[in-house]
Amino acid sequence: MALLEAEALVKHFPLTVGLFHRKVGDVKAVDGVSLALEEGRTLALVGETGSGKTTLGRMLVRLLDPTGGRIVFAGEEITGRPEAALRPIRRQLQMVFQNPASSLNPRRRVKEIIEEPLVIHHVGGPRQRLRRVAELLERVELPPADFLARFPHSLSGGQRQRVAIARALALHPRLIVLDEPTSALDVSVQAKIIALLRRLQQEFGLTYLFISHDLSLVRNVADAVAVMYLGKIVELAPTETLFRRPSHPYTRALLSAIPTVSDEEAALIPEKITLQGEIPSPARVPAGCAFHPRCYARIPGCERIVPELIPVNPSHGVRCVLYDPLMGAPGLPRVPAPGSSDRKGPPVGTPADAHDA
Amino acid sequence: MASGELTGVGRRTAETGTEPLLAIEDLVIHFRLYEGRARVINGVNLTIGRGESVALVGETGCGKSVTAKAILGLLPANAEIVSGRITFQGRDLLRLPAEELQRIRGRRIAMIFQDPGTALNPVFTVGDQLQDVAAWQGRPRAPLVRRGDGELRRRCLEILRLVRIPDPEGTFRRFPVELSGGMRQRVLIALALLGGPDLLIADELGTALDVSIQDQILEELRELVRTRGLSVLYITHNLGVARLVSDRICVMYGGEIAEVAPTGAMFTRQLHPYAQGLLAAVPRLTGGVGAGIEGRIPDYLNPPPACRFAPRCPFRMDLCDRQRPVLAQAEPDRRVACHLYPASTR
Repeated sequence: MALLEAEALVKHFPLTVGLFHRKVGDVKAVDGVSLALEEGRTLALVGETGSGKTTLGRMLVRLLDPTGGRIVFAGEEITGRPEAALRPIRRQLQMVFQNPASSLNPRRRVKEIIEEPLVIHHVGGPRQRLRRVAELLERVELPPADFLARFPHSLSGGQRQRVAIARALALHPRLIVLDEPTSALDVSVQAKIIALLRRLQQEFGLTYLFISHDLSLVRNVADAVAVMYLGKIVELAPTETLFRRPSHPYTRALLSAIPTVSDEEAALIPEKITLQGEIPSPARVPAGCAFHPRCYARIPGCERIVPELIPVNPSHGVRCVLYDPLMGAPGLPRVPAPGSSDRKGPPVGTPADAHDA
Repeated sequence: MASGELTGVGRRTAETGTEPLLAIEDLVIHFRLYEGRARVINGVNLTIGRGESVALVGETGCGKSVTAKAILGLLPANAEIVSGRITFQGRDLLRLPAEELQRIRGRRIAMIFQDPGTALNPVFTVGDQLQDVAAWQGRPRAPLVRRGDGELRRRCLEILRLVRIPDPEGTFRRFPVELSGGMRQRVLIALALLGGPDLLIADELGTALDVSIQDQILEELRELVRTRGLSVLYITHNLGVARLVSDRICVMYGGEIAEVAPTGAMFTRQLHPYAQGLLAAVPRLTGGVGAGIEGRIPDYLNPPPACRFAPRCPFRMDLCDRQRPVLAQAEPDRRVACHLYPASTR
């Protein structure tokens, strides 16, 4: 069962001008996102700067109020609740931020940083809290004796992120939103943090929303991937499927640009597709399909029709008219991923396959 | 020495053995800090041939940016160049008078800055900034009044076209904030190309951008470098980027060069344990995020006595704490500084 479900989630930030903040429009940061987070699993949210992935993550843990839509957590709707009623839910929703240098208070010691959520939620007395903090530090592999009294500035980037993870774990959460948790770290440190996150997930049955722009990393940590473009999910699929059969023109272009470090990897990515231009500002979303001005597979009508997320099979959705059954679902012009034939596992059905058959 | 300069056609000089365009020899740089003396750069050797693209890769704090700044004479005031030489076109940059260096910097050697958000002046238009650089031409100071003869403007527009800015005339009139990150990065490349340099230094180029834009810009720069026969020193922590753009890779650790090899060879196999650990830690599309490397970078105030990687090294021997390994030829076209290879133990 899904631990958290979002339905048609919308977040618009007003765009204002002048002294009296006259509203001149909206920045549609998140524009109708529906997704489900399965308990104990990791969903990755990928997309470029300005695609709305961080805004979405913050809404899911209720750090931001959605403009519209619903969030259902463990069977209960958590949107539109008064703050007091939200408190017990907040304990179960935690977030780890991108830059541990700025998400930890520089004037607090490690002990105080990790203890803070316990204090806020009135958990235990001082002595119990200290014991819990020490236990959490051990969980993230920082010896408590050495670290309890340290300040963040004396820690390395990796150690800081471990402290941030310990803080997120303090209240026994069920869902953690990881917002680019390793993008400020070096690869050798990143590998260690990822291993830790995995171990914690197994131990505590945690559910992760993993926000990232590093597709190679996502390939290794996520069970499913949602690709965002200008506030909308353009493709949602199990990780294997997404990397084997990227179906949305944007996903395919994104995958084709992954920098690789070996020929075996290079063989797995689609033929190079260079997109025209750059992602537009979310304040000026193009009409029709938001991706159409940059799309290499666009057909007449793309500039008018706003495509829905079309299920090409039960677990795989693509927001592109090329997959619309009413249009005959021609699919993307076929550029076979090189090396796709020698891959193990049953082939994944896509409309393109259905038509070949 | 000038012979290498005059031929000018030789590409891939590292293989042909002619005079390299830039040679860093035994560079040692210390920083004076309140806590003491930070021994950061500890004998770096690096050459860049004509028309060659070299990537200097390593993690935060390994000294790659310090090395680049030393080439350009842009080290902070508390840095002290203890010893070494940086020879560029036959002249030692470290011993040049300031005016001489000024004529080289920005013209013969140009830097493409890292952060497209902060490297441009927000209160001047792109055109103004380009024309300032174009008008400057290595004089002690930029002329206060620019001649509106259109010649500068023409040159700047041409450079903007060269870096594939879609609407050069429009971009010329715009302020940096009006441009996207990718466009700003292109403007920074244009600025670096204006003086017609022989050597470009690209510091973390594109790593602040999204993959699709990064890929586009790197490909275009690579093409530009190839057609114009430029030499490039890429400073990066992103191995995927290094693989895309470079002919040769130098892996740096703790202020020293750990291993040097042609790009293809480096990604197939690494000799130095640090290079192995680094490559293994990169998440792969084929599956797997490596184990990472235990420990942290050395404390430069009190660095390990001999091999600086020894405290983190899975193959540490007694010798590693007693004698410093030298960067030596371990295989044809591959140099490594590690006692596991007899050549390094001298």
